Amino acid sequence: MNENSDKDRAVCIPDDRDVIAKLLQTAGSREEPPSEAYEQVLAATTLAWRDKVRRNRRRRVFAVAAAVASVAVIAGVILRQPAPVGPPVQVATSDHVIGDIAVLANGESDWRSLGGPGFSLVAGARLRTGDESGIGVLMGPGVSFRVDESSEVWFETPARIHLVAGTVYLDSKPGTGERAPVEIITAAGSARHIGTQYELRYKDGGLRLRVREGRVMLRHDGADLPADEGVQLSIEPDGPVEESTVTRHDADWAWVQALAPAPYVSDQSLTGLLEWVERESGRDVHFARPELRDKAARTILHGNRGRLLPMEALAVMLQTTDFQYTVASDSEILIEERRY
Amino acid sequence: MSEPVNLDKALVRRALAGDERAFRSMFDQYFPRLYRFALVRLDGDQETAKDVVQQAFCKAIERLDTYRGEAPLYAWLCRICRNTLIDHCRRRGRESQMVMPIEDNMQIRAVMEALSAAAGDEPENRARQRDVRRLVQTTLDYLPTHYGNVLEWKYVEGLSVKEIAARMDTGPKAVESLLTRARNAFREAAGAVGSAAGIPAANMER
Repeated sequence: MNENSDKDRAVCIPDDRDVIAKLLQTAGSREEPPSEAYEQVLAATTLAWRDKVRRNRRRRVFAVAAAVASVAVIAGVILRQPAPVGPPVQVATSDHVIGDIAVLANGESDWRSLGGPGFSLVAGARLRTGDESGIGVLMGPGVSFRVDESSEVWFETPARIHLVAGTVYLDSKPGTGERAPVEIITAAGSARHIGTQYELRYKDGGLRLRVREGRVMLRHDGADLPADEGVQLSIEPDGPVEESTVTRHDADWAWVQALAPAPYVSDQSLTGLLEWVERESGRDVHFARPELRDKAARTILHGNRGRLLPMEALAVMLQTTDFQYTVASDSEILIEERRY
Repeated sequence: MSEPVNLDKALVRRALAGDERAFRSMFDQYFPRLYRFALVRLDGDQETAKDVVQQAFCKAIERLDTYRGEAPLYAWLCRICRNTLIDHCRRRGRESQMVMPIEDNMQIRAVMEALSAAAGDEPENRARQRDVRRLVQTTLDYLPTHYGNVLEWKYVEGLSVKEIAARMDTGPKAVESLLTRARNAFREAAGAVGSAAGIPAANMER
């Protein structure tokens, strides 16, 4: 752009910022709707929104009720629930709830709606999810247990969970304290983690284990089958064990991401968020230049953004920084300085 | 998928999950813009604009679970609002009274040529200047909310970077970089509007 004196201004190419400033100043403020219109439309729209949310939830409750019948038929196994001895032991707390979740407390005969986060689950409690619902529970520091749609589990102890039917995921973050490994038991076998992130599915008598990180020991037919990171073991009823591979960023992990505990980022460095995104998305985070890693560690985020998927949280939080990201490949996120 | 669309999807997901703050944020961000969108097309009829936007917003809520992020949420809402406007005018036999602003029909040659003329105080020039003002404001409405806001705060309200930072509860550096991105986005959007109308952005100031 050329710098010119006032005399020459009529013929010079003005600075781009000046053009934008002049345009905006000439245009003036955008007209705001009258407050009466705002209030009236807000009231009507709020009613519509509440009705929509209520109908969506009711659909899920009906789906849960339908799932109750089908789960009992498909599983074909009635797992007896032993009566606990002594005072109730807390095993987990609900953290992230999608849709309506039915809970049967130990000793009760009627299922009821769990509600939202913060519900305390004691030993003997059962959970059921219907279509398009799911729940993530926290079982202690760094241990996240997630239940996919159309599934049923019950908690025997803090270290033993029974998967009646459906799909569950366990994430036990390393370095968060000593804790007995959680064992997940199904009618076809059980899984006990030595490592950290895995999914177990028990459906129509078949068992499937997928290990996202670490190592899991699957016990089936009296034998211990170790499965390392990236391994999928599938066992059909009366069938052989089939082994295949699964990547950390496979699209099938999407349901797991939707139930992830929300990261607490307010007044934390960007590095913490990136580590969370890496862990939950399964994508490796790389920096375009080594020095950006230090810069990220010095960048402090402000304000939490609630329940967002990892990539959404990344988009939202990076907005307030000098960084941007690109998805370099299916398995990689590249962090760069923002381009102007 | 772009950052703004990821933000829109996140907001919609939270609103559908029953998060009232997300719903209010969505309403506060988009109601004023939709109102302006309808008002222009109804030639300033405020009462009808309010009714039409109410209907459009309620329809949008009903269909919110169909929003997949193929386009920015504002563009998706405008489509619903535009259809609601057309239905409304048709029902009242007022199709011919619906205003077609140039941003809806870039081929209106008379308007394109008029915009390139020198400014003056004659009535037709005042009308052209009004068109330019509205084009600029429409461009702002099409930008992501925080871009439009920060440009208005800086250049129309005259706030300093520090004052904007305080308003947004962030630091001055973040505001500077947001302003740069907002100007870039405005420049691209205004350039697209201008070139579709046959006018480069720089000439719109005359």
